[in-house]
Amino acid sequence: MSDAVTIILQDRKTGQRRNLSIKVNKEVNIAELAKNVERLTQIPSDELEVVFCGKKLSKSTVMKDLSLTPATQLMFLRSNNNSKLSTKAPIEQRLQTDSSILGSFYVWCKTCDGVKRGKLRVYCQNCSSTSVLVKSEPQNWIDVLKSKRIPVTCEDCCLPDLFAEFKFKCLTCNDLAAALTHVRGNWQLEECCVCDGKEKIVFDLGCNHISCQDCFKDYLLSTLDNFNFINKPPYGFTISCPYPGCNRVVQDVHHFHLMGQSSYSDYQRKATERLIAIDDEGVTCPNVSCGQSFFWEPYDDDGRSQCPDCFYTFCRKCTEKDCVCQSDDDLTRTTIDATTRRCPNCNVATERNGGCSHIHCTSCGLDWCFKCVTEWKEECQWDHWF
Amino acid sequence: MSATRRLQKELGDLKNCGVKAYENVECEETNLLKWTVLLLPDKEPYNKGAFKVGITFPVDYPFKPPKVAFETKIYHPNVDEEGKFCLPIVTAENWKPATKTEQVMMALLSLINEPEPSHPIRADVAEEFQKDHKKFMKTAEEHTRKHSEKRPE
Repeated sequence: MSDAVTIILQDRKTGQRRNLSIKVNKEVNIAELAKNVERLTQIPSDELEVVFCGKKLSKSTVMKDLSLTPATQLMFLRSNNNSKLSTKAPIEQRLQTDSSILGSFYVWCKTCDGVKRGKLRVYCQNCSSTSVLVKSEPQNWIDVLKSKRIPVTCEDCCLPDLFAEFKFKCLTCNDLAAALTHVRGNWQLEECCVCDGKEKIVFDLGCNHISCQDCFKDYLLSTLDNFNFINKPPYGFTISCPYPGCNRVVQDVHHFHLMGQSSYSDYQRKATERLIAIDDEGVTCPNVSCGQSFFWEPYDDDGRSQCPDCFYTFCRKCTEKDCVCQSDDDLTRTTIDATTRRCPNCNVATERNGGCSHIHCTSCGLDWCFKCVTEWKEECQWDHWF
Repeated sequence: MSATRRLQKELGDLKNCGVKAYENVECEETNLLKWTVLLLPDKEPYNKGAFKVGITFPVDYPFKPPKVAFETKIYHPNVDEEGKFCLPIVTAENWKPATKTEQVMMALLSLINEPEPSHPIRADVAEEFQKDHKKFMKTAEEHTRKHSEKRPE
């Protein structure tokens, strides 16, 4: 199979810059590609260096391993003999890093609507050129996900103190995609801790308790059922490792896309509602066709708020358009008041249908005593059994 | 993943695990979701009897926890008259899908062997346990003799 490769040739000897398009077989290596360039330009191929993905490619790298698309540009550099690009790492090690950087990532691809293999690309943070060389290799996820961690030299804008910008793309469709840091290949074919199945792509929250995609998806969906997500700042409402006793959590909500679009939206809406409920100045619009969450202004407050989205105005206490806080003919309200007590933290009506007085609020997570309606204390432990 | 596959595996593992603390692990002939297990606590005042525990698995097991309750009456600060108890690892908030029934049984056994009077479900029994331990032991032993199942030979 042969495809056109777009090449930018930067000739430092003459200061010229040329764009080339060469048709090559994907099985050829960089050395052969350089020979092709030599034939077109009469520049000896041993004077050419190839820069891609932040580093100098070794001559034996095979084209198809680069996962190039017609839009990708390869940078060929003809250096001054005096200032040849420094190559510190030996060729063998370089080869290894090449393949691991190109193929060991998984991403959530919106276009493909699924977990896909991803590729990592490196750009100049200043001019977005791909003609950059990293000065140090990224060692972990933080190095690629946070900005200004990896210094580069850019052959295009040549400014000092430049940093790399990393982007992930879907290997299937080439669109930009979100990196999934908790998804990895199951190289040793270990068993899923939930179903004992052996799948190739697994979830691992960094604790080595692996679970297959199907189980992780079911786990997410059942957690969404009664919104058992736990609030863990700075990650927000998240889920812990399915292994008993393990407290590792999912650190990036992109992983929740696995639930499917409608469940993911459901998650977002409910998580927002919960966060708003925790905040004293947060409120959720009771209009059935709205449900927007927002913060109300504490100035000149009359206890009523207007939703900024649908403009529905309501009483924040009883959530009715025409406030019924003062009326006593509301049967539902009387019943709820008679059979429940309110959580001392989030005010949610709570019914106790058995067990001890130790209440764990499923809405805000507070542990409180049903008897004295305050946070659970030592005295409650001893005296407030029933 | 189907609940059936995992339950079949767990049932097989439990039957063959050779742990002496529980025996007669069985499921209903026509319903894999309903099990009974005979618990054999090894501490006084419960070590003279066997206690039947019913386990009901939800259809979406293991993503929802099983419901576990005693079918044999037991005199214990943490078990109510209907056989219900609070066991954190099988509550909806704490449940983890990788928790196996064997771990649930071990947690229940340790609750029975070491009562937690600070988290009681029967206040009267907890009070007796703490204030008149002798009387508690006597009542519980008698209760065990009267109500519990026979230990298998």
